[in-house]
Amino acid sequence: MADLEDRFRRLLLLVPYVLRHNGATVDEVCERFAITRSELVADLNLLFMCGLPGYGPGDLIEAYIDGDQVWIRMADYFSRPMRLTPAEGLMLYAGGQALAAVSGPDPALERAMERLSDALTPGALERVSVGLESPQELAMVKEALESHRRLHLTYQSQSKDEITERDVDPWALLLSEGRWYLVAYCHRVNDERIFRVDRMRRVVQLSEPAPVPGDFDLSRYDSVYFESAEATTVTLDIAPRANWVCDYYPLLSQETLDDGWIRIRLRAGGTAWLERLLLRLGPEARVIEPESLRQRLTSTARSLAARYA
Amino acid sequence: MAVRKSERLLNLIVMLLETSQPVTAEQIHRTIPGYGQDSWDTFKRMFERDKEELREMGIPVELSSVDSWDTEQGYRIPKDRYYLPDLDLAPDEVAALWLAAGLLRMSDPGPARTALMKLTEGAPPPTEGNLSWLTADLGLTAPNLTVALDSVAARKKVTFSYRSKDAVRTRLVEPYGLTQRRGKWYLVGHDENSDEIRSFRLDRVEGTIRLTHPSRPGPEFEIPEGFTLQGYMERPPFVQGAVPEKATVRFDPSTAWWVERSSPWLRLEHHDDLSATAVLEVTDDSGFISWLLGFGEGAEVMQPQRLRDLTRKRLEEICG
Repeated sequence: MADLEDRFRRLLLLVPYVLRHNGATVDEVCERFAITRSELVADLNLLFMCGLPGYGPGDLIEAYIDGDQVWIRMADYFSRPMRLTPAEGLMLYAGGQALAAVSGPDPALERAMERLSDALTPGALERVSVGLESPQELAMVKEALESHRRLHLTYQSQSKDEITERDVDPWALLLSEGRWYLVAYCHRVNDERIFRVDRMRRVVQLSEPAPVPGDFDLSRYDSVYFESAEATTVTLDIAPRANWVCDYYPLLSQETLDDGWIRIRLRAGGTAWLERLLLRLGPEARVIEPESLRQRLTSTARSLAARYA
Repeated sequence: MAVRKSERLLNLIVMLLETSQPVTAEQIHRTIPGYGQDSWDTFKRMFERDKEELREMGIPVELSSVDSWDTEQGYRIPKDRYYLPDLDLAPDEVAALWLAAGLLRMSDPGPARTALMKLTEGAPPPTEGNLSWLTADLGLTAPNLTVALDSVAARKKVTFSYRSKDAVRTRLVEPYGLTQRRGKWYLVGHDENSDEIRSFRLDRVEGTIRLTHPSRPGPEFEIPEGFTLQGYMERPPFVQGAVPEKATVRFDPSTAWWVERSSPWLRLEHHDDLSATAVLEVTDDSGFISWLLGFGEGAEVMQPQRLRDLTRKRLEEICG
C-alpha cells in the first residue's frame, strides 16, 4: 500500500522532471528517481490513461521510451513542479535553522531560507519557531571541528554538578532534544565522552592537532544518554500531577499504582540532577530506592531549610 | 493504491487544475473514469477519500461557489497554490539547501529528498563542504506535525483528543503557531474549553489532529495583535495572570552563569564575586518555589519573608 502511494508521489515529481528534460536518457531518469527501467516503464504506462476530460486522442498524455530516450507530451499542466508540501518545507527549514545555529550568519543560507518560504504556501513558516539555542561556545567548538584542533574545556556537568578542566579532541557535534552535544576524546579520562555545549563555561582552542579516528561512526550515537560505569538504578514514585517527568527522561519501566501515582525506574550516572529534580517536585515525588539517594536528598533539604530559618 | 486509483487521482488533479470554474461533485462523478460505474454513495465515499489523500500530499482542493448566486458548490485546485513559483536559486543557495537537508538525522528523509528534487531540479549535490561531523535530530517525526503545520499556515481550526495531567479530553483549538522545544513539537493556540492560549505537545495527542472544515477556503480566525510565539514560550513558568508580587533571588557563582543562559527572560544584576541577583514577579508561589529549588543550593530567595517561609515549609516536607 505504502509502495503504491510512494509511487504516485514519485509520479508527480517525475512527470514535471521529464517534461522539462524531454529526451533525457532512461539511465538518467532512473538514477535520479532511484528506480529500475521496468518501474519507469510501468509509470509511463499509467500516464497513457490520463489527461483532460474527454479523454480522447487529443486529450490524453503521451508518454513513451524511444530508443534510449524518455518522452512525455500533451501534459503542459504538469510542466512546473508542485509547491513544497508543508512537511518538505519544514524539513529544509529546520535543517537550515540548525545549520545557522552552528555556522553563524551565512548570506547564501539566509537567501535560501527566504526562497524556501516563497516555495511554500504563503505564511507557512512565519508562525513556526525551531527555537534552537546557539550558545557562544558553539562557534568555538565548530571551528575546532573544522580545523581538527584540540580544545580545553572548563565544564560544569549537570549530572554531578562539579567543575572540571579537560583537554578534548573534538569528533562530532550532535543536536538532540534541543541541545547541542560535543562528542570528543577526553584526555582527562582517556576515553570518549559527550559534553553538553551549554554547560561549557569556557572553551579555549589549543594548538595541538586533534585527529578523528578513521573508524569513527557518527550514526552510532542514537542517544546522548550514555551509561556510565557507576550508574545506579533509581526507583521513584511520581504524583499524577507531575507525570511530565515520565516524558522527559529515559525510563527503564513505568507502572501506575493503585493510588494513581506512577512508579518509575531509571538509570542515573551522577545523581546531582536527580536531587534537584526531586527538590523541584517536593511533595509530588517519593524516593523508593536507593536509600542513599533519599538520605542525600533529606540532608540537602535540611541544610537548605536552615538558610531560611 | 491500485493502478486504477492512481489514474483516477491523476485525472482528478488534471480536471481540477485545468478547469476555469469550480466543478461540482456531480460533474466529477460523470466525467472521470473509475468513479462512473458505481452508485452515488460509493462515489461520494471514494471522492472524500481521494480529496483527503490529495490534501495529505499537499495538493490544495478548494470548495467554492460555482456561480455568483451561491446556489451550487464546486471544487478546484488553484494554480497559484499548486505550482512551485519560479525561484531561480543561485548555486550557493542550492548548496546551502543540500547541507541543511544533509545534517538531518531521521528515519524517513523522504520529504527532505523530494523537497530538494523540486527545488534543485537537475542540480547535483555539492561535492564540497559536506559537514560530516554534524548531525541534528529535530524531532521531525513527531506525529501530526504536518497537519499541525497546515493548520497554522492556513489559520484553520483543529480538533483532537489530548492527554493532559489528569485526563484525555477533546480540544477545539485555533492554532497560532508551532514550536520546537527540547526536541518536542508544540502547537500553540487558543483553546476553546479554557478560553486561554495553551500549548499542546504533539506526542500527547491521541490519534490524529483534524481540521474542522478542511474544504473551506480562507482563514477561520485572527491571531491577536501582539501575540508572538517567542514571547509565549519564554514567559516565566510561574506567572499565571494574577497580581504579581516582587521577589528577590540570589544566585551563587556556580549557578549565576547558568541562570543567565537558561532563563533568558530573567534580568540579572551581576556582582564582582560572580554571583548575581534578580528581581522577578511571582503569582504562582508553588511554581516559583519549584523553579527556585531546581537550582539546588545555588539559589536563595531573599525577599519577601512570606516566600522564604513557604520555601522552608516545602523543604521541611521533603525531609518528612
